[in-house]
Amino acid sequence: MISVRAKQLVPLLVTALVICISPRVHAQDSGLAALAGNLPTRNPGISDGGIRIGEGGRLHLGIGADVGYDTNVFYQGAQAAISSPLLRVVPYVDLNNQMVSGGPNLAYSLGATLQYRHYLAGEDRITSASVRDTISPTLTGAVDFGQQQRFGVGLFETFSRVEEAPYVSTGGAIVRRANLASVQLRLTPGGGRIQGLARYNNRYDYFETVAYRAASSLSQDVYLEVSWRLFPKTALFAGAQQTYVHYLDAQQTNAPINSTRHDSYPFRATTGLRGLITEKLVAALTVGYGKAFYSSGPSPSGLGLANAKLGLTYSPTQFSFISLDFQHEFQNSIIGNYFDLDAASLGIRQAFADRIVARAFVRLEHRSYSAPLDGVAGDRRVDNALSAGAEADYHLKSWAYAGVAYTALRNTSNAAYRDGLTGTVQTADYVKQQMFVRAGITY
Amino acid sequence: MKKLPKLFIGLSLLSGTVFAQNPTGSATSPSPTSEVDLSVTQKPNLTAPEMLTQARTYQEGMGQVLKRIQSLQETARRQKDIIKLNCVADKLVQTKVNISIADQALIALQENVTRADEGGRTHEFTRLTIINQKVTVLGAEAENCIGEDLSFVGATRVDVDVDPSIPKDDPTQPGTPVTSVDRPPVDRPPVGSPSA
Repeated sequence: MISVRAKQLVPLLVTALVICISPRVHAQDSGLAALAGNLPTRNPGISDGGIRIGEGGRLHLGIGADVGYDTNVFYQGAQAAISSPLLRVVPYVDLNNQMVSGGPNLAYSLGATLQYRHYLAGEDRITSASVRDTISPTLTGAVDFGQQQRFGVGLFETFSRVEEAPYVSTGGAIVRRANLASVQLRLTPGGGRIQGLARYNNRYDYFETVAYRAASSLSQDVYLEVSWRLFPKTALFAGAQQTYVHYLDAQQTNAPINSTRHDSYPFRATTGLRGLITEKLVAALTVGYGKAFYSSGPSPSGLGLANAKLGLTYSPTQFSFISLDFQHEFQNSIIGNYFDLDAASLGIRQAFADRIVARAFVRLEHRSYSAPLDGVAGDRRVDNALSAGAEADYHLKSWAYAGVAYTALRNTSNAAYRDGLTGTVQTADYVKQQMFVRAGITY
Repeated sequence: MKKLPKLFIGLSLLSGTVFAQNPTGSATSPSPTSEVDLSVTQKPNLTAPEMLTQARTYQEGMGQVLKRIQSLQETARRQKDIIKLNCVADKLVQTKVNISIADQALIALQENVTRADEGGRTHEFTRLTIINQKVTVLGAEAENCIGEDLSFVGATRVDVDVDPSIPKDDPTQPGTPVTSVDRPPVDRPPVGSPSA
């Protein structure tokens, strides 16, 4: 009886671990997107389920739904917040061959996820149909040749189309399309302790929403890295990245005042350590120097040129997982040329009683923009975002779950906007909370 | 008179030699109860059921040796080494013959046990013991045929126990490229703007 339960538990826990890691990793880059929350989808790369397709290939299917309440649909200040119940449905499909023992020579993973969201509040509260009903698909693909060989090639592709509520209650949805295509070459001569890696990324970022269209861009970057494996799962590395960011709207039509986009050629040189520190502690430490090289306007200087990332992952038991992350760097921005980012986050995941998986996270993010927006007091706009959340899922079967989730986001900013028609002043401060009851199947 | 001392000495020497011999001859033949180092363990004190049990144990052991030789033959066949294959095949044939004889001896042993023929069952049991030894030697010789000597204890096997908490993936690799599709920062355009 115990062995059967243990057999069922392993994929659950591994799945939960991956689910918990994924938002954390994305949160490092997306910041505020951590609030978005995701329904659990089994990571088919490791799980047992799925329909066997060919040698080692497995097709995974699933669908999840949650019903919840959003206290602030349009990210407004406390006086103007509009709340609404909402429904989300997320089907997904995934095909991969990650189950092959020892790692396949040709590894592939293809996936598609669709999120449908419907705000249940009436038209009197949410006037735009494009906000009430949103559909956000994501397609991913990865092919990796020669994982176990001296020379390997990787191809990666991700496409997303996201529809999000705007910052004004009368506006339509913010619609953004993004595509990332990457090619990676990996050379591991000799005994495998030294590895050379070259990666080319092509990012296409397009706003269908007119107000943001000036921020649509095409960026390309080349990343070169040499790593030395000190131990089987610990390596020192040094890398350099050169990026070219080109804004597609050369005339910057509709660009906000003081926020005209300029092409840039950011360069970053980094070094650090990745891998196991102890059997239970994984570290990813990166420090480096960068320069933005904007064609016009302000550029990072002083401490802003330094970039550092520290990620620690500690697993005290097989059922526990703690992660701690710090980040400091400059990033290309829609407001001003860039912003200096300082962020820290803490995540905890714990499994209980064989079937319950709980997770909690908190993240503090400080953004200092290079330029003020309309009416901002001071030289730079500064935003501080604190996000936190907790969720717990009970796995009724290895393929079915039910759970609850709660997330909250509080943003404080020195930005202020004067409405040209009413003369009222609005800030960028807001508090947003979301709570869900959810259920789904993952095969 | 001169010959008398010579005769006495000669008789004395002769008589010493004669007296040194045991008149019954039993001193020079090994005693049945003396401890002799025999490679083949004989258990004359075994009861009939014990003999049968031991005989069946021998039979099972010989069957395992036969299987091992057959697997060695398959190995030699896969290696396409005709010399090894012939060598192993020779041992296999001898082993089969010996096992066939052992089967007959076991049947005879059972019959003798049934008839309570103590001499007969001891004889058959001895045959079985010797055949078992022969088969064991043939097994070792078969191992030698493919280059694995008598001390062969099996192929080297490395068992690696990895702490389940250690990540199975390779944390030294840079992560898969990701693109962030987060919300733009708070920007509240005036009413009537294109986004409004």
